[in-house]
Amino acid sequence: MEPDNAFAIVLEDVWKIYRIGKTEYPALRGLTLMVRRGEMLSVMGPSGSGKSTLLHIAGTLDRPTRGRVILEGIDISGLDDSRLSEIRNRKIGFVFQAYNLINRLSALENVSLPLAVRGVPLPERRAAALEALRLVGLKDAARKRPLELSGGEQQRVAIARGLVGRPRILLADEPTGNLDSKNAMIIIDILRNINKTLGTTLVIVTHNPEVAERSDRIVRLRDGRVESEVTLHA
Amino acid sequence: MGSTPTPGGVNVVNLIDTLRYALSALRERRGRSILTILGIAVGSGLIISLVSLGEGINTVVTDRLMMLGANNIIVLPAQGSNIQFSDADVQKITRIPGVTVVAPFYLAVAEFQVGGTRVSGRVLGIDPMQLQIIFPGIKILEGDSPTPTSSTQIGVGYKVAFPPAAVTTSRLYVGQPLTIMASTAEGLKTTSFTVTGIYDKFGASVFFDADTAVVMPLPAARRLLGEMRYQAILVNTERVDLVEYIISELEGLYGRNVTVISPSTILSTVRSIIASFTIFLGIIASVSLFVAGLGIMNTMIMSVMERTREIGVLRSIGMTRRDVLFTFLFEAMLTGLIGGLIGVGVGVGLSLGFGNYAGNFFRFGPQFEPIPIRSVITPELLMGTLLFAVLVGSVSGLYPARRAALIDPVKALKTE
Repeated sequence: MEPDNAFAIVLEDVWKIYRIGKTEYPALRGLTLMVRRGEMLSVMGPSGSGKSTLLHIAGTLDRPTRGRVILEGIDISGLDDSRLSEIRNRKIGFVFQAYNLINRLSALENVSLPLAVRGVPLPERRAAALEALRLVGLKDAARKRPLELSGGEQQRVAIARGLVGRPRILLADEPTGNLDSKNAMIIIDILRNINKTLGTTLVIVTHNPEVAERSDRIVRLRDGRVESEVTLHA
Repeated sequence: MGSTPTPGGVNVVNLIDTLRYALSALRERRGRSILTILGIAVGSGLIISLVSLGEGINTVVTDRLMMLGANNIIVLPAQGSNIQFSDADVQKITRIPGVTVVAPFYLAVAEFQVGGTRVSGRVLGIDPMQLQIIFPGIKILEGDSPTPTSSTQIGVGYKVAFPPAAVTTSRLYVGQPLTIMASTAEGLKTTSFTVTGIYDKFGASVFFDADTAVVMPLPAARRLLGEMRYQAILVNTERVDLVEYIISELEGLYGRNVTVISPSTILSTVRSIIASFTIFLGIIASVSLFVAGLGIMNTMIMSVMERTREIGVLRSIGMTRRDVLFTFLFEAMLTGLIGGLIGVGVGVGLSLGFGNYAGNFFRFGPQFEPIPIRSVITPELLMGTLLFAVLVGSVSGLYPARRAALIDPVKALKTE
């Protein structure tokens, strides 16, 4: 086994069991997964196979019931809310299927938000947000509100928000799920480009085979475990 | 926005970001925000206007009572008692330690013939040398004070000498005769006197309006009223703190035959009544502010529910639970602050307007002029009310903000 620091994400025998009343619903059943630094990984699988749960646990939004999670060499198991939030703020970017932009804020303000949380002064924050918008090709839309933009454009703003803080890891949950194939390809090109030029580790949960084909590796989940995996580019 | 957990664990809160974020959230739900803010504004406006009005009434009553002299005591025959004061009573009271001056006096309702019309007022029969005790600081405007032993000389109040233009255009001059009609023990009597002095404007105290009175020496009053017994005795004491002791001495001398009135004892009673009244008004106003606080809570709970997904986003970009708590708490506090500021403005306006309006009804009796009430608006009241509004906002925001902070980010992000 390679040393931990070669991996951006290590999930070791991770279990996630939801309890409703006395009934247990296991979402992950001893899942083990390692994502190399700079890798672009697609996670596929039928609904209910634990894809989203995996992403939430890797993104520190959720805690495993059992098992170890190591992000960028840090074992996050025992960390408190404030440490986990700091890791999310500095090391992880999220992209969601439904974009999840805040509609009352401009594209620029939405993109700046992670830096505001980090306490970055306004001028630097604006410059970084404009640069992030430039990377997704939306520099001219900085002043627009999300609802003035198309779905594809909104998702590009969301990607800019995800990468504005220069995180080591970008986690995308069905990023093309709400988009037509043309826009889906634009999004996936942008993500691929970020992965290649910035070296950001990228994990994409997707149903879309065209999206998955563009990644380095595809992992298929079933019943909360890795069922199979295919390496496309070494 | 929130804060940065630094390695040392100290949160550097960027208040300006949080303020801008809260303002944008309030603007997004403009209608609801305005209504909520209005509730707070009404509550704090009520506190300011009602409390300042109460304070204003307190000040007016205090001033008027103090015109009568805080260290004075008035001894009157009790209702139903047939006691009649004579010079012997004056001697007796003079012997009480602490008493400086004892001034017996007559008081009667009368009409004065000025020009072609009759002006109504009161006759105060008292030693003119002792008038300063009843009306401290009263000045002669024209002429001289009547001689204490005279039975014909009188001094007239300002409004008797210069009646309002609506009554008559003529005025009285020093040296002129004045015909006075008074109801006496022997029926309605008309007697003529000579004006030797005109008093300057003094104003109304609780018992007498100096400006509508005619002051005459005791012999002159006896000639007018045909009465040998004094109607009341004014007792001036050395110090205010002796008033209570001397009152008890007087009650010891006369028992239930007399009524003893003193401005300072009336004042403490009146003041405590006004104070309870003011507190009562303040409590009512505070209740309305609390209700407005429930409005904030309601609005914030709805807002938290509607913004669940936003909370999920905020958590996903690195906000801690405490940051989320603070963000929503700040929004509630801001609602209280804005409402409080508007309320302070409205309250000040309202209390000034209301004060003038109420002033027209506030008088001691029909023969007195209405007394303008000036609302007393202190910086303490304004600051206190503003702080109270902010506090109500913050406390109301506590529960919704806690709810927001405890929302599971995973569930929040799945919310539609």
